[in-house]
Amino acid sequence: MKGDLSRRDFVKSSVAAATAAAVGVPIADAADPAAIEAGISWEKSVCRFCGVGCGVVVGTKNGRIAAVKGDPENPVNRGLLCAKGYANANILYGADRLTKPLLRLKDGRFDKGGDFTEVSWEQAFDEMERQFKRVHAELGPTGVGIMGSGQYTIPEGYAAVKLAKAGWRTNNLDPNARHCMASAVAAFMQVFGIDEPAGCYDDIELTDTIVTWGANMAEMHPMLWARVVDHRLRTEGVRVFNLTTYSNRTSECADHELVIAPQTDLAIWNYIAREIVNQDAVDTDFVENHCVFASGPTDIGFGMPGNDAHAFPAELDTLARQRVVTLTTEEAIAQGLDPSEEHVVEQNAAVGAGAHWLISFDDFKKGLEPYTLDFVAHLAKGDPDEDIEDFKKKLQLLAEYYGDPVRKVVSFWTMGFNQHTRGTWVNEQAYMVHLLTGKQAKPGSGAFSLTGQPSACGTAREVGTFSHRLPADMVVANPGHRARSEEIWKLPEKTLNPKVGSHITQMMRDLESGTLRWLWVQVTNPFQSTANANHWLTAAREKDCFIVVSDIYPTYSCKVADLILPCAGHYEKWGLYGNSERRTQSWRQVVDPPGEARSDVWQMLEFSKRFTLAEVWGEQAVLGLAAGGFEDGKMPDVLGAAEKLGYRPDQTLYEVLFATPAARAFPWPDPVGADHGCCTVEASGLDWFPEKALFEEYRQFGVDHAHDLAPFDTYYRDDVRGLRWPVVDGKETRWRFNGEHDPYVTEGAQFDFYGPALKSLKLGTLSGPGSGATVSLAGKAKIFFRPYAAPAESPDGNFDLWLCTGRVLEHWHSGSMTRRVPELNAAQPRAQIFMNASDAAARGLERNDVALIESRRGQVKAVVEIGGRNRMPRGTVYVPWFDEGVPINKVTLDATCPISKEIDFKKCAVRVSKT
Amino acid sequence: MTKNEELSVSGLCVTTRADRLAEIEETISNHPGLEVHARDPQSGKLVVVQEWATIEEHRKGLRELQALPGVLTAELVLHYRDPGDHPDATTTGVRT
Repeated sequence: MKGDLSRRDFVKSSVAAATAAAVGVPIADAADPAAIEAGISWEKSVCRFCGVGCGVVVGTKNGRIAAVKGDPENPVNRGLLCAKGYANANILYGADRLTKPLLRLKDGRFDKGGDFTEVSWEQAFDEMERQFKRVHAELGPTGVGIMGSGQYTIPEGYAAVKLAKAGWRTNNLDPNARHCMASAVAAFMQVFGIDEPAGCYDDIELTDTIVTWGANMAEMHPMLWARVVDHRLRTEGVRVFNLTTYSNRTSECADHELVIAPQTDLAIWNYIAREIVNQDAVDTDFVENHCVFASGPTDIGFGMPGNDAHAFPAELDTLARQRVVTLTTEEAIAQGLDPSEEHVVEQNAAVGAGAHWLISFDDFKKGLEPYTLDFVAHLAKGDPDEDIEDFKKKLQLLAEYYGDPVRKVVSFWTMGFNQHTRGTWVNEQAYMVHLLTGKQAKPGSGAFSLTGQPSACGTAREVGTFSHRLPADMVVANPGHRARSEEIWKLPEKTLNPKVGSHITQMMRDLESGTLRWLWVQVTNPFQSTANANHWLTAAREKDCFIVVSDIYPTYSCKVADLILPCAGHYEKWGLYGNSERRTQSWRQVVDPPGEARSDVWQMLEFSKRFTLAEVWGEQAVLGLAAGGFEDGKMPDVLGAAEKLGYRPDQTLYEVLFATPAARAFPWPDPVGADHGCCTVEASGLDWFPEKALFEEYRQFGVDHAHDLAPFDTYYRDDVRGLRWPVVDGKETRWRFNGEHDPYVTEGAQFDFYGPALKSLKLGTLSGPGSGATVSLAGKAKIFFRPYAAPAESPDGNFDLWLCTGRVLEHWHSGSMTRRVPELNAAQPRAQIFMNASDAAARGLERNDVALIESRRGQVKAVVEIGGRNRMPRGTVYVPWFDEGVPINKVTLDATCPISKEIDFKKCAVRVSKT
Repeated sequence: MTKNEELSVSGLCVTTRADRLAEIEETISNHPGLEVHARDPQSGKLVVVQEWATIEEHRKGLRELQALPGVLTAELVLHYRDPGDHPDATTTGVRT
């Protein structure tokens, strides 16, 4: 038959057969799907974009990726992919891939004002080393830092943690994931004492109700959304509720849409909780057996700098709210205060904002009392043109869904909650309602935090690439956690720095103040992605600092770098990612990196050869260090103790941290890599397998500590499509804390919230902790009362509109990859300013006019869109941030949640005018 | 087109209301550039193959499918690009 078909027919018939197989449609008269696959070798893999973690099958032919398809055997996406998923191959083949290190040179020497010039890796590392040692000698470990992201593979993130924390003894390692889900992490730790969701994606098909809170899943998590839509269409009684600050594609498939005013999610949760309590819809057994009530301080500021040293004059009024806040009428009511009086509140808990204590159920009820339907509806209605009675009816219906004792409910959220000056609070409030109603950690019911990056969970969180973390939920401030890490890493006691490092936004502020002067940016684009960017762009170029950017393309951040290092892309290296449902998935290297591009693991290993122990493990000054067992302001010399462990002062960090005897016991070639290259191995001529050695060492942190991962080779088995941790006795866990599913639950218990962190508290009232003894809360989850609080900045007569930023379906993150894929770029070539038609008309603007968007911090121009995918209510504009031609983060505000330190990219005040 | 030109073909999955499957299949079959290769009356799914020359053409086809009355979803499942003898297509990305 093959001979009778023209090439075109043959290809079409084969594509049809492969498509039919992927979606489970029977097909009779097609060519063998393997026919188009002649000469193609297929490999299971995982998508490198969002946190959903779709399975991708990658086909390679002649050293190049020839085809990409959804993996029908992967339970996450069941053979389907979104538009970005299909671009997984094309993102490697943009015309301007970086293939050589580029250093700013003038007259053959490094010069900050020089031009980027191709240099060898040795020259690149020579200058990088010289600059590191110059800064390290002047400022010590806190003068250097690394910015990473949730795009780190697990071995990459682990190498970065070990190099920074164990090698250089600095905790200045923080990921772009801080901007993505740090608020989710903080709430998991505060409520459950352990990070990451209880449930899994199976909840979608098992639930009756899906509520999206500030999560436009149709565009941001499209393949999960496809499952939601499929379930909704097929199953009677399933309802979808979309809470959002503007109408979006998720609204199109929702039964109910609630357009809310920015920040009022805090009040809506309390209204729902109040209804549940008043209508006796509390699951009393669940709450009494498994929960306690808690609250914390309200005078916590907005995570902005505490002084005005580097502020632009126009920023001063917003910055002043970091120190003193005059409560709005609504805030006074929401805190149970007399709204007719003025309440001027010093923000005394800005440091230590996460402190909390137990309260009684009566106090909890008292806290909820002001959140009546009338109060909340008037505060929260986000579309000025909607009738208040219609809005109230929807609020009531939402409360009924949550309170209905038989209805299962899943709440999804991502950036709408996490990027929020009260992000930790609003995450805690989601658990408040799910715990009150017993709809948590059960099949089909749970509050479910989604992530934006492919390994935000698997690497940034689980490996611990945060300035306060160590692997497996451990933290640098805890002496026991440091001791356990030092034991696994075979480090002398007190090698690890007990002082929390600078989070990613603080590192930018440190660049500006001159306290951080050497920075290595890996797998991220922070000068495009960090709010209030004019400050950081200027600091990077004008301060005495050295900035290294490792990337596959020349990004916006490369423009302000001093040295650019070319990286291997996704399928050009080995890796593992962990998705939003705790599923760890793997891929092999299938093609070689171009030119002299190298894996990030190789870069870290090679650079570590340039440091002897004597250079970094002697006594180090650390400003502000104060911890038990340490002299103030100092980390001790550990070289003597190191010699007792068998190390020599002239040994390098490479020998001590990476090429250890244990690591070298994982030989290359390895049967798991038969017929595959490993660019890390090949570039250094190694006889061991660094990615596997790093993963296996990392795994030791989680085994028997409720974070168990399977051995490296298990994830590469043909019959495995990832496993959800904890993986105990070879079995994954779908619902944590649930006795029927989770092996860590105490024998015989129905539920056990066993997370160990922050489980000893004092009893107090809504106004503060008491003076009594602490109480142990082992096995319990906390139901927090958190009040409504106004945003850091709101529209006024001068800046009269809300600005919300975010993503679009076609582009991922800063667009550095997807904008190089013609299909995606043609679909969405530029960032527009989405606005309401009457707001546009009032400013003399029409669709496709160029408008100027200005805030106290900066300005950009963009083309006006009054229709399209996002339909804005009057008073709010939306600008996606993927387009480096519209660097909207010059306009946004770098206020953060004071607990999680995550920036609120969803609200600041702007004005828009015709140019 | 000669044998060796670049060829772009997409495999699409169109989900319809099952009672309108036949009618929608006919509509699609009459559309230039689109061919129905398989159908499943039970799930209301059609497997559609699209050949396209430009990205805009591909997107237009998908948009038109999505807009057809009775179509619930139309999604790209597989995208195959046969480089033919196109010189750049086989050299880009190869180690130099």
